[in-house]
Amino acid sequence: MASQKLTVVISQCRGKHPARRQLEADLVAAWMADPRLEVSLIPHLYDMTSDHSGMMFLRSVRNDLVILAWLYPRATRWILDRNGVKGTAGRTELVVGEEPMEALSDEESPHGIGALDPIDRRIYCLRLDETVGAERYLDEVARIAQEVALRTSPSGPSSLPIAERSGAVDRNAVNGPIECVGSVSVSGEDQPVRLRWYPVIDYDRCTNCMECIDFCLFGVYGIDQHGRIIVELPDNCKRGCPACSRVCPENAILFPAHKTPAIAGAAGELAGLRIDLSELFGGATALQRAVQERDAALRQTGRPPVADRPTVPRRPTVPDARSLDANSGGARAQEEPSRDSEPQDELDELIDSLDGLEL
Amino acid sequence: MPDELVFPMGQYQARIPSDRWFSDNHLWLKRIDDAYRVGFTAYSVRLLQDVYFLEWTVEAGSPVERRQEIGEIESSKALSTLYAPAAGRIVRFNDELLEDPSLINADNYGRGWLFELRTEESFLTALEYVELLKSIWPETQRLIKGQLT
Repeated sequence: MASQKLTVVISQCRGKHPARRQLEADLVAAWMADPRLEVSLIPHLYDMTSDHSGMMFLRSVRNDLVILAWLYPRATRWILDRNGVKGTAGRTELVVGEEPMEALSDEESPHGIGALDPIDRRIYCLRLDETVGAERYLDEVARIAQEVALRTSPSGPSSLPIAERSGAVDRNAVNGPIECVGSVSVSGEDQPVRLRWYPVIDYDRCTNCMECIDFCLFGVYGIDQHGRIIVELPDNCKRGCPACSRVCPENAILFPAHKTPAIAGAAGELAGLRIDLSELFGGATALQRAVQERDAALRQTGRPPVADRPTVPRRPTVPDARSLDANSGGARAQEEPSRDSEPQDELDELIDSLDGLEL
Repeated sequence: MPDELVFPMGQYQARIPSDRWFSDNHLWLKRIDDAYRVGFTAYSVRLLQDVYFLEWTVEAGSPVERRQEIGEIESSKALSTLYAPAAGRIVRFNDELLEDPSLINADNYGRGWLFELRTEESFLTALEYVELLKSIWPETQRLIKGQLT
């Protein structure tokens, strides 16, 4: 067994939802007793500011990390990224509903500008759901602990006991006799958080097109020293307004607290969702809805609505995402075919793939 | 002019017959006496797939505005509000569909018609409709892709 303990962090739910609090408590109780794990509790990930002690704790963890939050994994991953908690997404086998919980599988080939300065460790993001029994989270974390031990063991897998190499999850290691009673660290309990509302950018999808910064009239977005779009002043964002995510051509902008799964960061979510074709048959377009939402937010702040009048001059040129990669040392510098030459067939396949959906 | 045009949607060939008119919200309209019989184009049906449920939210005989909400449709892959293709008066609905909406899939250009509309507005020819489909196809795919991912 690797000597390094695996850090497991539970980001607590908002409010005092009894079933959610119970699930958190059950998981903490089980993991405290596991000598392979170091378990910590932090406030709700989305609500913590970057200088919150809970976030500082997360930044201090340098090894593989499992984080469980009441958020879609994609939202968790990119909230961590924007707060400087870097790593690559670990694969998880836990499925809530029909949704695979990994935000990003190894097979997926993102065409966005990618995260800056990724580090070589895995972050496993699991979505908490009170309708899923604690058992399944315990099983999955036990499986991840074995995977991490196999991967990080200095002398390779062969040095591990046979039982661990078999790949079977040994639940007794979690629930069996308690060899060592651990403890739970609580970070940031003394620092209250307030409910926040702001966009989170998924850089695996973001192509730096700047539609969002042009559309938002509240100064939420900015550009960093590498010329990359960032959420610069998140708390300028107007609660309830997801307009910029509707205008994003790549669906790269998440509002983790929005009621619509696709906007909140559901990845590969098909279960329970049907495509809404109202726009096709004459309903409001995403842009029209975004304009209405932005106007509502403007009215709330005593500013006149602007409807769809252009309010900012269009940017004449946008730095190319691939040249940005080269400049900023981003992870993704591989050659991708230019988007102009991309065959339409990739998208055509989407339509064909509808046949394969068992909704 | 051939009897019908086709618009390719991936592997699927959506038939667009030349004997009728088309609206920009993907309905066909065929002159029947002093009204138009209206139904879903093959493009619409392909996106909807198997229709399970159809409900009208206006009464037969009602005047409607262009783009007014007139009903709801639910299928295996999608749901949608339905909107009037033009200002006018809906003369009657196809009662047969309320019993069995799968006629929309089985015979969208025939027995699967939706309603009859009396209107003075003009519509697109098959050729113009196919041109429209070509121009909006990337956006339609984005709409679907955005909701799937």
